[in-house]
Amino acid sequence: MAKVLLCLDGTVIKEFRLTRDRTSVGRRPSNDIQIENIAVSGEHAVFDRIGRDVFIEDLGSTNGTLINGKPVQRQLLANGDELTVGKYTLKYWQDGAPVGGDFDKTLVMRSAQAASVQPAAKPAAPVAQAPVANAAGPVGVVKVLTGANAGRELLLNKPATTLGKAGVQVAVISKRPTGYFLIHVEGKQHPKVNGVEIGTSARQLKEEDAIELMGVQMVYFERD
Amino acid sequence: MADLSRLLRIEGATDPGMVREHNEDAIGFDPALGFAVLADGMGGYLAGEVASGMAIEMTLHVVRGALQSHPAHQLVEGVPYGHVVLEDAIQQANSAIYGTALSQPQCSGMGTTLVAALFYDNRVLVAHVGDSRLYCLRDDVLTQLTRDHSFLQEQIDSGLITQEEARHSHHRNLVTRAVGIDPLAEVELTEHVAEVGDLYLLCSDGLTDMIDDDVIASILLTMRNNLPLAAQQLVLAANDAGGRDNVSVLLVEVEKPFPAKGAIWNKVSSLLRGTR
Repeated sequence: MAKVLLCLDGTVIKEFRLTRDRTSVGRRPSNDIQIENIAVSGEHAVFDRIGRDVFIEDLGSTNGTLINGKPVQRQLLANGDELTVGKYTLKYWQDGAPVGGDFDKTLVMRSAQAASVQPAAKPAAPVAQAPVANAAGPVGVVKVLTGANAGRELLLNKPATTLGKAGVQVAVISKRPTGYFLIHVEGKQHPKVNGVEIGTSARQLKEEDAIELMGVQMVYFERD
Repeated sequence: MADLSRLLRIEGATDPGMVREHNEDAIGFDPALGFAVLADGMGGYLAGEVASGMAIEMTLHVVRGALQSHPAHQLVEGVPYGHVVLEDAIQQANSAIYGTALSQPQCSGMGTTLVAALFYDNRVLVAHVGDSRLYCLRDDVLTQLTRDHSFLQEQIDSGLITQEEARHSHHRNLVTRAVGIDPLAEVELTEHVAEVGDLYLLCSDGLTDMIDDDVIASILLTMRNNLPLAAQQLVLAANDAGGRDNVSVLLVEVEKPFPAKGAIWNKVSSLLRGTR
Protein backbone atom coordinates (compact mmCIF):
# COMPACT_ATOMS: atom_id res chain seq x y z
CA MET A 1 0.00 0.00 0.00
CA ALA A 2 1.36 3.39 -1.00
CA LYS A 3 0.97 6.49 1.16
CA VAL A 4 2.00 10.13 1.18
CA LEU A 5 3.00 12.23 4.16
CA LEU A 6 2.02 15.87 4.01
CA CYS A 7 4.81 17.92 5.56
CA LEU A 8 5.37 21.60 6.28
CA ASP A 9 8.82 22.83 7.31
CA GLY A 10 9.96 19.25 7.89
CA THR A 11 7.06 18.37 10.20
CA VAL A 12 4.55 15.71 9.22
CA ILE A 13 1.04 17.15 9.32
CA LYS A 14 -1.03 14.33 7.96
CA GLU A 15 -0.79 10.90 6.32
CA PHE A 16 -2.84 9.91 3.28
CA ARG A 17 -3.19 6.35 1.99
CA LEU A 18 -3.44 6.00 -1.79
CA THR A 19 -6.28 3.49 -1.81
CA ARG A 20 -7.96 4.70 -4.99
CA ASP A 21 -6.82 4.69 -8.59
CA ARG A 22 -6.75 8.49 -8.57
CA THR A 23 -6.03 10.71 -5.57
CA SER A 24 -6.27 14.41 -6.28
CA VAL A 25 -4.25 17.21 -4.70
CA GLY A 26 -5.35 20.86 -4.67
CA ARG A 27 -6.63 23.91 -2.80
CA ARG A 28 -10.35 23.25 -3.38
CA PRO A 29 -12.27 21.20 -0.77
CA SER A 30 -13.26 18.69 -3.49
CA ASN A 31 -9.71 17.30 -3.53
CA ASP A 32 -8.78 14.08 -1.73
CA ILE A 33 -5.73 15.85 -0.36
CA GLN A 34 -6.67 19.46 0.30
CA ILE A 35 -3.89 21.97 0.91
CA GLU A 36 -4.87 25.47 2.06
CA ASN A 37 -2.11 27.53 0.53
CA ILE A 38 -2.19 30.38 -1.94
CA ALA A 39 0.63 28.83 -3.99
CA VAL A 40 -1.40 25.65 -4.54
CA SER A 41 -3.78 25.60 -7.53
CA GLY A 42 -7.44 24.65 -7.14
CA GLU A 43 -6.77 21.38 -8.93
CA HIS A 44 -3.04 21.01 -8.66
CA ALA A 45 -1.95 17.43 -9.28
CA VAL A 46 -3.14 13.86 -9.11
CA PHE A 47 -1.66 10.53 -7.97
CA ASP A 48 -2.48 7.97 -10.63
CA ARG A 49 -2.21 4.36 -9.54
CA ILE A 50 -1.75 1.54 -12.07
CA GLY A 51 -1.35 -1.79 -10.28
CA ARG A 52 1.55 -1.26 -7.90
CA ASP A 53 2.92 1.70 -9.82
CA VAL A 54 1.99 5.21 -8.75
CA PHE A 55 2.50 8.20 -11.04
CA ILE A 56 2.24 11.86 -10.18
CA GLU A 57 0.70 14.08 -12.82
CA ASP A 58 0.63 17.87 -12.70
CA LEU A 59 -2.76 19.20 -13.77
CA GLY A 60 -1.37 22.38 -15.33
CA SER A 61 -0.95 24.09 -11.96
CA THR A 62 0.23 27.69 -11.85
CA ASN A 63 3.31 27.03 -9.77
CA GLY A 64 4.02 23.49 -10.94
CA THR A 65 4.82 20.24 -9.18
CA LEU A 66 8.42 19.38 -8.28
CA ILE A 67 9.86 15.96 -7.57
CA ASN A 68 13.09 16.10 -5.60
CA GLY A 69 13.42 19.70 -6.74
CA LYS A 70 12.76 19.11 -10.45
CA PRO A 71 9.54 20.21 -12.17
CA VAL A 72 7.61 17.32 -13.68
CA GLN A 73 4.59 16.80 -15.89
CA ARG A 74 4.07 13.11 -15.17
CA GLN A 75 6.45 10.71 -13.52
CA LEU A 76 6.57 7.28 -11.95
CA LEU A 77 7.20 7.65 -8.22
CA ALA A 78 9.92 5.80 -6.36
CA ASN A 79 10.00 5.11 -2.64
CA GLY A 80 11.11 8.23 -0.75
CA ASP A 81 10.41 10.74 -3.54
CA GLU A 82 9.61 14.24 -2.27
CA LEU A 83 7.01 16.30 -4.06
CA THR A 84 6.90 20.03 -3.60
CA VAL A 85 3.51 21.67 -3.96
CA GLY A 86 3.60 25.33 -2.99
CA LYS A 87 5.15 25.56 0.48
CA TYR A 88 4.27 21.98 1.29
CA THR A 89 6.12 18.73 0.78
CA LEU A 90 4.49 15.40 0.07
CA LYS A 91 6.68 12.40 0.85
CA TYR A 92 5.87 9.25 -1.07
CA TRP A 93 6.26 5.84 0.58
CA GLN A 94 5.39 2.37 -0.55
CA ASP A 95 4.94 -0.41 2.00
CA GLY A 96 5.85 -4.01 1.38
CA ALA A 97 9.23 -2.71 0.32
CA PRO A 98 11.61 -4.99 -1.49
CA VAL A 99 12.76 -8.02 0.42
CA GLY A 100 15.30 -10.52 -0.86
CA GLY A 101 14.64 -13.93 -2.31
CA ASP A 102 11.80 -14.62 -4.60
CA PHE A 103 11.19 -11.25 -6.20
CA ASP A 104 10.83 -10.60 -9.88
CA LYS A 105 9.43 -14.02 -10.71
CA THR A 106 7.62 -14.07 -13.99
CA LEU A 107 3.88 -14.37 -13.57
CA VAL A 108 1.17 -14.92 -16.12
CA MET A 109 -1.64 -12.47 -16.29
CA ARG A 110 -4.62 -12.85 -18.56
CA SER A 111 -5.31 -9.69 -20.55
CA ALA A 112 -8.81 -9.38 -19.12
CA GLN A 113 -7.38 -9.02 -15.63
CA ALA A 114 -5.01 -6.30 -16.70
CA ALA A 115 -7.07 -3.38 -15.47
CA SER A 116 -7.42 -4.58 -11.90
CA VAL A 117 -4.11 -6.31 -11.49
CA GLN A 118 -2.72 -7.00 -8.05
CA PRO A 119 0.17 -9.43 -8.33
CA ALA A 120 -1.04 -11.43 -5.39
CA ALA A 121 1.26 -12.41 -2.57
CA LYS A 122 4.37 -11.36 -4.44
CA PRO A 123 6.63 -8.84 -2.77
CA ALA A 124 7.36 -5.77 -4.79
CA ALA A 125 10.19 -6.09 -7.23
CA PRO A 126 12.92 -3.64 -6.43
CA VAL A 127 13.12 -0.76 -8.84
CA ALA A 128 15.68 -1.44 -11.54
CA GLN A 129 19.16 -0.37 -10.63
CA ALA A 130 20.75 1.39 -13.53
CA PRO A 131 23.64 -0.92 -14.38
CA VAL A 132 26.24 1.78 -14.75
CA ALA A 133 29.72 0.40 -14.40
CA ASN A 134 32.36 2.68 -12.97
CA ALA A 135 29.99 5.63 -13.34
CA ALA A 136 31.94 7.96 -11.11
CA GLY A 137 35.26 6.18 -10.69
CA PRO A 138 38.38 6.53 -12.81
CA VAL A 139 38.18 5.78 -16.51
CA GLY A 140 40.60 3.36 -18.12
CA VAL A 141 42.81 4.58 -20.96
CA VAL A 142 45.02 2.73 -23.41
CA LYS A 143 47.87 4.69 -24.94
CA VAL A 144 49.54 3.43 -28.11
CA LEU A 145 53.32 3.60 -27.83
CA THR A 146 54.59 2.21 -31.14
CA GLY A 147 53.50 1.86 -34.78
CA ALA A 148 51.51 4.20 -37.03
CA ASN A 149 49.17 5.27 -34.24
CA ALA A 150 51.88 5.99 -31.67
CA GLY A 151 50.76 8.61 -29.20
CA ARG A 152 47.05 7.95 -29.68
CA GLU A 153 44.91 7.46 -26.61
CA LEU A 154 41.87 5.24 -26.44
CA LEU A 155 39.36 6.17 -23.76
CA LEU A 156 37.67 3.01 -22.45
CA ASN A 157 34.28 4.58 -21.79
CA LYS A 158 32.16 1.94 -23.56
CA PRO A 159 31.08 -1.44 -22.18
CA ALA A 160 33.49 -3.05 -24.63
CA THR A 161 36.31 -1.54 -26.73
CA THR A 162 37.95 -3.38 -29.61
CA LEU A 163 41.69 -3.52 -30.23
CA GLY A 164 43.29 -5.00 -33.35
CA LYS A 165 42.07 -5.86 -36.80
CA ALA A 166 39.18 -8.15 -37.77
CA GLY A 167 40.38 -11.32 -39.48
CA VAL A 168 43.91 -10.93 -38.11
CA GLN A 169 43.88 -10.47 -34.36
CA VAL A 170 41.20 -8.94 -32.20
CA ALA A 171 41.02 -8.37 -28.46
CA VAL A 172 38.40 -6.55 -26.45
CA ILE A 173 38.71 -4.57 -23.26
CA SER A 174 35.53 -5.14 -21.30
CA LYS A 175 34.45 -2.58 -18.72
CA ARG A 176 32.96 -4.19 -15.63
CA PRO A 177 31.99 -2.94 -12.18
CA THR A 178 35.11 -4.60 -10.81
CA GLY A 179 37.48 -3.09 -13.38
CA TYR A 180 38.75 -3.50 -16.93
CA PHE A 181 39.43 -6.90 -18.49
CA LEU A 182 41.41 -7.78 -21.61
CA ILE A 183 39.89 -10.68 -23.56
CA HIS A 184 41.13 -12.48 -26.65
CA VAL A 185 38.45 -12.58 -29.38
CA GLU A 186 40.03 -13.94 -32.56
CA GLY A 187 43.31 -14.69 -34.27
CA LYS A 188 46.06 -17.29 -33.83
CA GLN A 189 48.11 -14.98 -31.64
CA HIS A 190 46.85 -13.98 -28.22
CA PRO A 191 47.68 -10.54 -26.83
CA LYS A 192 50.50 -10.19 -24.31
CA VAL A 193 50.35 -8.40 -20.99
CA ASN A 194 53.76 -7.49 -19.53
CA GLY A 195 55.38 -9.85 -22.02
CA VAL A 196 53.20 -12.89 -21.20
CA GLU A 197 50.50 -14.18 -23.56
CA ILE A 198 47.03 -14.20 -22.06
CA GLY A 199 45.09 -17.40 -22.64
CA THR A 200 41.42 -17.68 -23.39
CA SER A 201 40.28 -16.29 -20.05
CA ALA A 202 39.81 -12.62 -19.28
CA ARG A 203 42.79 -10.80 -17.77
CA GLN A 204 42.11 -7.93 -15.37
CA LEU A 205 44.22 -4.88 -16.20
CA LYS A 206 46.30 -3.03 -13.62
CA GLU A 207 47.81 0.45 -13.74
CA GLU A 208 50.74 0.62 -16.19
CA ASP A 209 50.21 -2.86 -17.61
CA ALA A 210 52.02 -3.14 -20.95
CA ILE A 211 49.82 -4.62 -23.69
CA GLU A 212 51.15 -6.02 -26.95
CA LEU A 213 48.88 -6.83 -29.86
CA MET A 214 49.87 -7.35 -33.53
CA GLY A 215 53.36 -6.16 -32.58
CA VAL A 216 52.07 -2.84 -31.29
CA GLN A 217 52.99 -1.78 -27.76
CA MET A 218 50.39 -0.09 -25.60
CA VAL A 219 50.11 0.91 -21.98
CA TYR A 220 47.03 0.82 -19.77
CA PHE A 221 46.36 3.37 -17.04
CA GLU A 222 43.45 4.95 -15.22
CA ARG A 223 42.50 8.59 -15.28
CA ASP A 224 40.24 10.33 -12.75
CA MET B 1 16.73 -32.67 -46.00
CA ALA B 2 18.71 -29.49 -46.34
CA ASP B 3 21.64 -29.14 -43.92
CA LEU B 4 22.21 -25.54 -42.82
CA SER B 5 25.03 -26.26 -40.36
CA ARG B 6 27.71 -24.92 -42.77
CA LEU B 7 25.70 -21.79 -43.51
CA LEU B 8 24.59 -20.78 -40.02
CA ARG B 9 26.49 -20.67 -36.75
CA ILE B 10 24.57 -21.09 -33.50
CA GLU B 11 25.92 -20.67 -29.98
CA GLY B 12 24.14 -20.33 -26.67
CA ALA B 13 24.58 -19.82 -22.97
CA THR B 14 22.24 -20.11 -20.00
CA ASP B 15 22.93 -19.26 -16.39
CA PRO B 16 20.91 -19.17 -13.13
CA GLY B 17 22.12 -15.62 -12.43
CA MET B 18 23.30 -14.23 -9.10
CA VAL B 19 20.15 -14.62 -6.99
CA ARG B 20 18.16 -17.66 -8.04
CA GLU B 21 19.08 -21.17 -7.03
CA HIS B 22 17.43 -22.82 -10.01
CA ASN B 23 17.65 -22.12 -13.69
CA GLU B 24 14.10 -22.10 -15.07
CA ASP B 25 15.37 -21.03 -18.50
CA ALA B 26 16.15 -23.59 -21.17
CA ILE B 27 17.70 -23.37 -24.63
CA GLY B 28 17.93 -25.73 -27.56
CA PHE B 29 19.19 -25.57 -31.12
CA ASP B 30 20.00 -27.64 -34.17
CA PRO B 31 22.26 -25.93 -36.71
CA ALA B 32 21.46 -28.53 -39.40
CA LEU B 33 17.74 -27.71 -39.17
CA GLY B 34 18.41 -23.99 -38.82
CA PHE B 35 16.35 -24.01 -35.63
CA ALA B 36 16.90 -22.27 -32.29
CA VAL B 37 14.49 -22.09 -29.34
CA LEU B 38 14.59 -20.50 -25.89
CA ALA B 39 12.09 -20.75 -23.02
CA ASP B 40 11.73 -19.03 -19.66
CA GLY B 41 9.66 -21.22 -17.37
CA MET B 42 7.45 -20.18 -14.50
CA GLY B 43 5.61 -22.00 -11.75
CA GLY B 44 6.13 -23.37 -8.27
CA TYR B 45 9.02 -25.44 -6.95
CA LEU B 46 10.90 -26.86 -9.95
CA ALA B 47 7.75 -26.65 -12.14
CA GLY B 48 9.22 -23.74 -14.13
CA GLU B 49 12.15 -25.92 -15.11
CA VAL B 50 9.80 -28.72 -16.11
CA ALA B 51 7.76 -26.41 -18.33
CA SER B 52 10.69 -24.77 -20.12
CA GLY B 53 12.46 -28.11 -20.51
CA MET B 54 9.37 -29.71 -22.02
CA ALA B 55 8.92 -26.77 -24.41
CA ILE B 56 12.47 -27.11 -25.73
CA GLU B 57 12.39 -30.90 -26.10
CA MET B 58 8.96 -30.96 -27.72
CA THR B 59 9.57 -28.19 -30.25
CA LEU B 60 12.94 -29.65 -31.26
CA HIS B 61 11.40 -33.09 -31.63
CA VAL B 62 8.41 -31.93 -33.70
CA VAL B 63 10.42 -29.63 -35.98
CA ARG B 64 13.06 -32.29 -36.57
CA GLY B 65 10.47 -34.91 -37.45
CA ALA B 66 8.32 -32.70 -39.65
CA LEU B 67 11.14 -31.24 -41.75
CA GLN B 68 12.22 -34.76 -42.71
CA SER B 69 9.06 -35.22 -44.76
CA HIS B 70 8.82 -31.81 -46.47
CA PRO B 71 11.12 -28.79 -46.81
CA ALA B 72 10.10 -25.69 -44.84
CA HIS B 73 9.64 -23.49 -47.93
CA GLN B 74 7.14 -25.81 -49.65
CA LEU B 75 3.71 -24.22 -49.80
CA VAL B 76 0.90 -26.03 -48.02
CA GLU B 77 -2.43 -24.44 -48.89
CA GLY B 78 -0.61 -21.22 -49.72
CA VAL B 79 1.45 -21.14 -46.52
CA PRO B 80 5.10 -22.20 -46.27
CA TYR B 81 5.28 -25.56 -44.51
CA GLY B 82 7.70 -24.07 -41.93
CA HIS B 83 4.89 -21.90 -40.57
CA VAL B 84 2.65 -24.91 -40.13
CA VAL B 85 5.45 -26.88 -38.47
CA LEU B 86 6.48 -24.18 -36.02
CA GLU B 87 2.91 -23.40 -34.97
CA ASP B 88 2.24 -27.13 -34.56
CA ALA B 89 5.45 -27.67 -32.56
CA ILE B 90 4.48 -24.96 -30.08
CA GLN B 91 0.90 -26.22 -29.80
CA GLN B 92 2.20 -29.72 -29.08
CA ALA B 93 4.51 -28.33 -26.41
CA ASN B 94 1.54 -26.40 -25.06
CA SER B 95 -0.63 -29.53 -24.86
CA ALA B 96 2.12 -31.51 -23.15
CA ILE B 97 2.76 -28.84 -20.53
CA TYR B 98 -0.93 -28.11 -20.00
CA GLY B 99 -1.72 -31.82 -19.63
CA THR B 100 1.12 -32.34 -17.14
CA ALA B 101 0.07 -29.29 -15.15
CA LEU B 102 -3.45 -30.70 -14.87
CA SER B 103 -2.40 -34.23 -13.93
CA GLN B 104 0.56 -33.48 -11.62
CA PRO B 105 -0.39 -31.38 -8.59
CA GLN B 106 3.20 -30.19 -8.05
CA CYS B 107 3.19 -28.81 -11.62
CA SER B 108 -0.15 -27.06 -11.36
CA GLY B 109 -0.16 -23.66 -13.00
CA MET B 110 3.24 -24.02 -14.65
CA GLY B 111 3.95 -22.41 -17.99
CA THR B 112 6.73 -20.92 -20.03
CA THR B 113 7.53 -18.12 -22.42
CA LEU B 114 9.04 -19.17 -25.71
CA VAL B 115 10.88 -17.61 -28.61
CA ALA B 116 11.94 -19.69 -31.59
CA ALA B 117 13.60 -19.01 -34.93
CA LEU B 118 13.46 -21.26 -37.97
CA PHE B 119 15.84 -20.36 -40.78
CA TYR B 120 14.93 -21.46 -44.29
CA ASP B 121 15.15 -20.12 -47.85
CA ASN B 122 17.06 -16.93 -46.88
CA ARG B 123 14.35 -16.09 -44.37
CA VAL B 124 13.90 -16.31 -40.65
CA LEU B 125 10.55 -17.33 -39.25
CA VAL B 126 10.11 -16.13 -35.68
CA ALA B 127 7.55 -17.47 -33.21
CA HIS B 128 7.09 -16.05 -29.77
CA VAL B 129 4.82 -16.25 -26.75
CA GLY B 130 5.47 -13.99 -23.74
CA ASP B 131 8.41 -11.69 -23.05
CA SER B 132 11.40 -13.60 -24.38
CA ARG B 133 12.79 -11.67 -27.32
CA LEU B 134 14.50 -11.86 -30.67
CA TYR B 135 16.84 -9.13 -31.86
CA CYS B 136 18.69 -8.71 -35.15
CA LEU B 137 22.08 -7.04 -35.48
CA ARG B 138 22.44 -5.82 -39.07
CA ASP B 139 24.77 -3.10 -40.37
CA ASP B 140 25.86 -2.45 -36.76
CA VAL B 141 22.29 -1.66 -35.67
CA LEU B 142 20.45 -3.78 -33.13
CA THR B 143 16.71 -4.07 -33.77
CA GLN B 144 14.14 -5.84 -31.63
CA LEU B 145 11.98 -7.94 -33.96
CA THR B 146 9.52 -9.28 -31.39
CA ARG B 147 7.06 -7.32 -29.32
CA ASP B 148 6.62 -8.58 -25.75
CA HIS B 149 3.31 -10.10 -24.73
CA SER B 150 3.44 -8.36 -21.39
CA PHE B 151 1.40 -6.05 -19.22
CA LEU B 152 4.12 -3.38 -19.56
CA GLN B 153 4.13 -3.55 -23.36
CA GLU B 154 0.35 -3.11 -23.31
CA GLN B 155 0.75 -0.07 -21.07
CA ILE B 156 3.40 1.36 -23.40
CA ASP B 157 1.23 0.67 -26.46
CA SER B 158 -1.76 2.41 -24.93
CA GLY B 159 0.38 5.43 -24.00
CA LEU B 160 -0.06 4.98 -20.24
CA ILE B 161 3.67 4.94 -19.62
CA THR B 162 6.84 5.67 -21.56
CA GLN B 163 9.66 3.25 -22.43
CA GLU B 164 11.85 4.93 -19.83
CA GLU B 165 9.20 4.62 -17.10
CA ALA B 166 8.76 0.98 -18.05
CA ARG B 167 12.38 0.27 -17.09
CA HIS B 168 11.55 1.19 -13.50
CA SER B 169 8.08 -0.29 -13.27
CA HIS B 170 7.10 -2.95 -10.76
CA HIS B 171 5.33 -4.85 -13.53
CA ARG B 172 8.29 -6.07 -15.55
CA ASN B 173 7.49 -9.63 -14.54
CA LEU B 174 3.90 -9.89 -15.81
CA VAL B 175 3.37 -11.69 -19.11
CA THR B 176 0.01 -11.77 -20.87
CA ARG B 177 0.68 -14.91 -22.88
CA ALA B 178 2.44 -18.15 -22.03
CA VAL B 179 2.81 -21.70 -23.30
CA GLY B 180 1.04 -24.37 -21.23
CA ILE B 181 -1.50 -22.33 -19.31
CA ASP B 182 -4.51 -22.81 -21.62
CA PRO B 183 -5.68 -25.59 -23.96
CA LEU B 184 -4.38 -23.54 -26.89
CA ALA B 185 -1.34 -21.23 -26.99
CA GLU B 186 -1.59 -17.84 -28.67
CA VAL B 187 1.48 -17.90 -30.90
CA GLU B 188 2.71 -14.86 -32.81
CA LEU B 189 4.51 -15.71 -36.04
CA THR B 190 6.49 -13.20 -38.06
CA GLU B 191 8.82 -13.68 -40.98
CA HIS B 192 11.82 -11.58 -41.99
CA VAL B 193 14.38 -11.63 -44.79
CA ALA B 194 17.71 -12.96 -43.51
CA GLU B 195 20.90 -11.50 -44.97
CA VAL B 196 24.48 -12.73 -44.87
CA GLY B 197 26.18 -11.09 -41.88
CA ASP B 198 23.00 -10.88 -39.81
CA LEU B 199 23.44 -11.82 -36.17
CA TYR B 200 20.26 -12.89 -34.38
CA LEU B 201 19.92 -12.88 -30.61
CA LEU B 202 17.24 -14.82 -28.75
CA CYS B 203 17.16 -13.96 -25.06
CA SER B 204 15.18 -14.21 -21.85
CA ASP B 205 14.11 -11.15 -19.84
CA GLY B 206 16.96 -11.88 -17.41
CA LEU B 207 19.20 -10.25 -20.02
CA THR B 208 17.05 -7.33 -21.17
CA ASP B 209 15.88 -6.38 -17.67
CA MET B 210 19.46 -6.09 -16.48
CA ILE B 211 21.30 -4.40 -19.35
CA ASP B 212 20.32 -1.80 -21.93
CA ASP B 213 20.06 -2.54 -25.62
CA ASP B 214 23.10 -0.38 -26.38
CA VAL B 215 25.24 -2.47 -24.00
CA ILE B 216 23.99 -5.62 -25.77
CA ALA B 217 24.83 -4.06 -29.13
CA SER B 218 28.29 -3.04 -27.96
CA ILE B 219 29.12 -6.57 -26.77
CA LEU B 220 27.80 -8.14 -29.99
CA LEU B 221 29.65 -5.67 -32.21
CA THR B 222 33.01 -6.13 -30.50
CA MET B 223 32.85 -9.89 -30.02
CA ARG B 224 30.82 -11.17 -32.96
CA ASN B 225 33.84 -12.93 -34.45
CA ASN B 226 33.87 -15.18 -31.39
CA LEU B 227 30.25 -16.20 -30.79
CA PRO B 228 30.83 -18.41 -27.71
CA LEU B 229 32.66 -15.49 -26.08
CA ALA B 230 29.91 -13.03 -27.03
CA ALA B 231 27.25 -15.31 -25.51
CA GLN B 232 29.29 -15.75 -22.35
CA GLN B 233 29.98 -12.00 -22.04
CA LEU B 234 26.28 -11.13 -22.40
CA VAL B 235 25.52 -13.42 -19.46
CA LEU B 236 28.42 -11.93 -17.52
CA ALA B 237 27.18 -8.38 -18.13
CA ALA B 238 23.70 -9.28 -16.87
CA ASN B 239 25.22 -10.86 -13.77
CA ASP B 240 27.51 -7.87 -13.22
CA ALA B 241 24.42 -5.68 -13.24
CA GLY B 242 22.85 -7.76 -10.48
CA GLY B 243 21.79 -10.96 -12.22
CA ARG B 244 18.43 -10.97 -10.47
CA ASP B 245 16.92 -13.51 -12.86
CA ASN B 246 18.05 -16.49 -14.92
CA VAL B 247 19.87 -15.32 -18.04
CA SER B 248 19.83 -17.09 -21.40
CA VAL B 249 21.04 -16.14 -24.84
CA LEU B 250 21.21 -17.83 -28.23
CA LEU B 251 23.19 -16.31 -31.08
CA VAL B 252 22.63 -17.24 -34.72
CA GLU B 253 24.94 -15.83 -37.35
CA VAL B 254 24.14 -16.06 -41.06
CA GLU B 255 27.50 -16.92 -42.63
CA LYS B 256 26.34 -17.80 -46.15
CA PRO B 257 23.13 -17.53 -48.17
CA PHE B 258 20.77 -20.47 -47.64
CA PRO B 259 18.28 -20.47 -50.52
CA ALA B 260 15.92 -23.44 -50.66
CA LYS B 261 16.63 -26.01 -53.33
CA GLY B 262 13.76 -25.94 -55.76
CA ALA B 263 12.64 -22.54 -54.55
CA ILE B 264 13.26 -21.09 -57.99
CA TRP B 265 11.10 -23.73 -59.59
CA ASN B 266 8.36 -22.93 -57.06
CA LYS B 267 8.63 -19.26 -57.92
CA VAL B 268 8.38 -19.96 -61.62
CA SER B 269 5.43 -22.28 -61.20
CA SER B 270 3.63 -19.79 -58.96
CA LEU B 271 4.22 -17.14 -61.63
CA LEU B 272 2.76 -19.49 -64.22
CA ARG B 273 -0.24 -20.10 -62.02
CA GLY B 274 -0.61 -16.36 -61.62
CA THR B 275 -0.78 -15.77 -65.36
CA ARG B 276 -3.49 -18.28 -65.90
